[in-house]
Amino acid sequence: MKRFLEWFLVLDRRIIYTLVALAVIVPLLFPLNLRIYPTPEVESVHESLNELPAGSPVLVSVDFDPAALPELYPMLISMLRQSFQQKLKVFITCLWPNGVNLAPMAIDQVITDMKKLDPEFDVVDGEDYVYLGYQPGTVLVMLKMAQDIRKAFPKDVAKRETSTLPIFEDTWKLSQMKYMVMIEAGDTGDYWIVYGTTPNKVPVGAGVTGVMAPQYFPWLQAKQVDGIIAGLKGAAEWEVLLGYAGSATKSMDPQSIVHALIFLAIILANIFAFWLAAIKRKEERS
Amino acid sequence: MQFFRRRFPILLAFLAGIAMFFAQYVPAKPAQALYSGFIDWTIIIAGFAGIFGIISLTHYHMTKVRRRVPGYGFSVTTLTGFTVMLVIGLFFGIAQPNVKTAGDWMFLNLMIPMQATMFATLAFFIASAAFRAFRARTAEASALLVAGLIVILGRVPIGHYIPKLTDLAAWIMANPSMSAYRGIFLGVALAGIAMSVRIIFGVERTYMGGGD
Amino acid sequence: MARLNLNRLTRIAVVLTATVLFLLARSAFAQEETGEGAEPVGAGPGVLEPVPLTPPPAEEAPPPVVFPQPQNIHATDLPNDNGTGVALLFDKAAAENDRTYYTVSIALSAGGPFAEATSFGAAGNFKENFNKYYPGFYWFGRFRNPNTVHVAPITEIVTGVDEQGRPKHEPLTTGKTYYLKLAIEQDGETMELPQVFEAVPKQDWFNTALSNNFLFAVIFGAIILFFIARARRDPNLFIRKIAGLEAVDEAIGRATEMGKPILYLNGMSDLSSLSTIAALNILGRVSRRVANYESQLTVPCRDPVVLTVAQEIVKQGYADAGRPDAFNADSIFFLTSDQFSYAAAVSGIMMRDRPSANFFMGYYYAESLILAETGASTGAIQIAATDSATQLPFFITTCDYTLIGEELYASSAYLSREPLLLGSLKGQDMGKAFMMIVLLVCTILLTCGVVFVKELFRALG
Repeated sequence: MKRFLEWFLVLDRRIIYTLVALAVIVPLLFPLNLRIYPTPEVESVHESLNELPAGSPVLVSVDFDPAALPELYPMLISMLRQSFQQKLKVFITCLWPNGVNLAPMAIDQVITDMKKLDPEFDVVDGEDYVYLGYQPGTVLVMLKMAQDIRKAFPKDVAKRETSTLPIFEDTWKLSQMKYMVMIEAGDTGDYWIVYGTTPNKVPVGAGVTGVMAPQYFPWLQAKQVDGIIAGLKGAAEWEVLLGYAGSATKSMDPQSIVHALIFLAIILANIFAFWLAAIKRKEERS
Repeated sequence: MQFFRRRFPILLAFLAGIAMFFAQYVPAKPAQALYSGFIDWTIIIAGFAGIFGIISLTHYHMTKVRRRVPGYGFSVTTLTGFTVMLVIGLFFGIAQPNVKTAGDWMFLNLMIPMQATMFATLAFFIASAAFRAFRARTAEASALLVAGLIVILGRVPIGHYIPKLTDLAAWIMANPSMSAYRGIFLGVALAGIAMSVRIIFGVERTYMGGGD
Repeated sequence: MARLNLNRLTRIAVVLTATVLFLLARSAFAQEETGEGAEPVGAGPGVLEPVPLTPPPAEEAPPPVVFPQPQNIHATDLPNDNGTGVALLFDKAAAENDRTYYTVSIALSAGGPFAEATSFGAAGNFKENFNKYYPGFYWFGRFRNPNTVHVAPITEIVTGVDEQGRPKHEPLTTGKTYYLKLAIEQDGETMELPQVFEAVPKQDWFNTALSNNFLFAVIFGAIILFFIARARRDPNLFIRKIAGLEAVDEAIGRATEMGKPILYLNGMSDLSSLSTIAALNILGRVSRRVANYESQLTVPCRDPVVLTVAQEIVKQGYADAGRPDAFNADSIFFLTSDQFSYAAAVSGIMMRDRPSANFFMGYYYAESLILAETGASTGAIQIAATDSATQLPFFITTCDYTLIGEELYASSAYLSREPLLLGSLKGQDMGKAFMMIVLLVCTILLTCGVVFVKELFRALG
């Protein structure tokens, strides 16, 4: 028994990696369909968008790169879906150079999906949404957007002059946005809150990776952030609220099983550690 | 010469530091123009600095290939990938409206999968790290263990099947965790002020290189 | 005497005459009521309507619209801005209600033409809603006089139309006189006040909304400078042990014994980040000790500017240790700016070169666990120092020593033991003590209901 306990407590990493791999693969093959309960933080973002009348301008900032795509891309899809469903005017920016191709992917995917649900569905680039692309400078871009978005982004990704686009007829600066969702994999979110949304009084929801979520709770408590969509689970909660099962929802089963596996492994490791210590004490006494 | 090597950089750091500090509090246009000018130059310098990076990278790997050090095949791969991406990006990668370029193809089919794969390895690493580290050796470690276990299960759908676990996890995230983060942020902010004062007033000079 | 015998014919004639007279009278009154000779209204044939004895009262005319009379209307420069704003202020009128709207229009000359600049309902646009422009009122004045002064800030003017025929908005010009007018809409009717108000936008050279922030920054800076100055006179300052920094020598010694290199990472940020500067400071000290021990140092960099600075620092470190010939510039090199590519490359270096000591100094993102876990798998001693709160748990679980947050910034002072640097640490601690006292006092005050204290610490700009 002692040898088994000693072996378990220094378990080879490769065994752990194999167990984790199985914990991911098996639920994907045999889904458990665990129920997902939305949290108040995600509901807040969903409700705030829900309450906006058709034609309200909203801003989405895509500030992540392909590394964070599994966690954050589903949030972008949900944001675009909800915005298009409610006929909001969507302004999309990108302040990460490696993430510049992600928004067009998401727009194409959402339009395709929504056309499958409703063949009459149509959104016009430049009228219902506009993708402004990437601009270097982060804080400087935010300060310029507060003055005039058209000056911060003179052209969109299609090389059209932003001042000629119909979507900019009634909305041209940050303070005119009715809501913003920032999808963040780094520090850009802090700059958005300090330099962008708080001074211009724009309500903002933060979509962040799971690891970054604790960092945003102080902002939430100070009411500088309206809600937090944290990680893949947050993305899944948003999908549930919107009534569709996207990639985030499908990932919840594997995530739950992996977490349960880690939970079990830690519990067993501690129990076995105490057990081994007891055996050693007994041996010393005898 | 001594002035330009030692004192001039310190004077420059002082003037720039003081100017940027006051620019935060002065809304007038000259101050804001100074601030945005500094940021513009930072971007320009970073762009040119990329050239130094490319030279360093190429030199490092070429040296390894030339000397045939063990593992030089990785350097060959690096140089090949770097060259291919550079050529395709420069000549076949310029964005066109509604047109998928070769650069787009490489981004979608190489960059995205590779980066997502690297991020995915975190799941495996965290499992092994947590297994090794979460042991109740001391009282503090036990507190960390208990909180960690509650949050591990409470933040996933399976946690809803245990009564009150998700509420407890949410409470931990919104209260003690947030308080700890606030404490760290405050400490880091104050240390940042102290470090900035040291740099601006020339007390801290190691970052300049070239000795104290 | 014979009875007067109104015979039947006479009775019929009297009744008929009375009936005709009655009907004529009713018809006349009905015409008066309608005024148009309309048919007399009634319940229908065969039903006798009661004859009205007095004319019905005329319908009440709608009451006249009572416009609110705002007092103390004046136009000023918009404070705390860059000289592109003016504001119209006026006291809240007693007759305001939820059907009251104010519109302010602006023109370049007193004679017009005036164009609408802003419009708002009586329930909003109070002075306290614009705390960025009126911080003093927000902090101190609003509790005595809440919601009593309306403000209409104006920062743009329509100067024409663009090529698409849409109005072109331009910011106001500093120093130019602008003319404002106020119009009041009440119950659907609009009244424009005849007075024209002048205002000139002026640049402001201090943002009073950030005065609390400025004050605290100056206080902290002064505390730190005071203790730096004091350290010149009294260099014997106590500093507690930081285990991670005490282990630096041990790590370098171990690497020398094993004949393996030391891997040093400066973090993922560029040189504008304080944590990178702190990491480079430590690199200077470490490189000096590595030179003394005649060990190898590998410094893969993520940022080209950091690369150039790191090369200079390590070179100087070797020179200070009297070993300039041992410096190898190729040991400090640029890898890539991409996050996970960098992590993959460093992991590869760890697996191939098997360094015996890994230093993770600076700011890290999600790749921290990949780096630290790979390093742990090679059996290296690992020391991490980061101010990235989200990555601390990963370093704590995988590294032998972890410096948390400000300990990274203190490391330069700790390793060098220079009195001036130690003095700044002391000042930093005093600043923290001041902060703790302020937090405690404000918590007590807030618990006792003194609410305005919380707002004093909010940066309004």
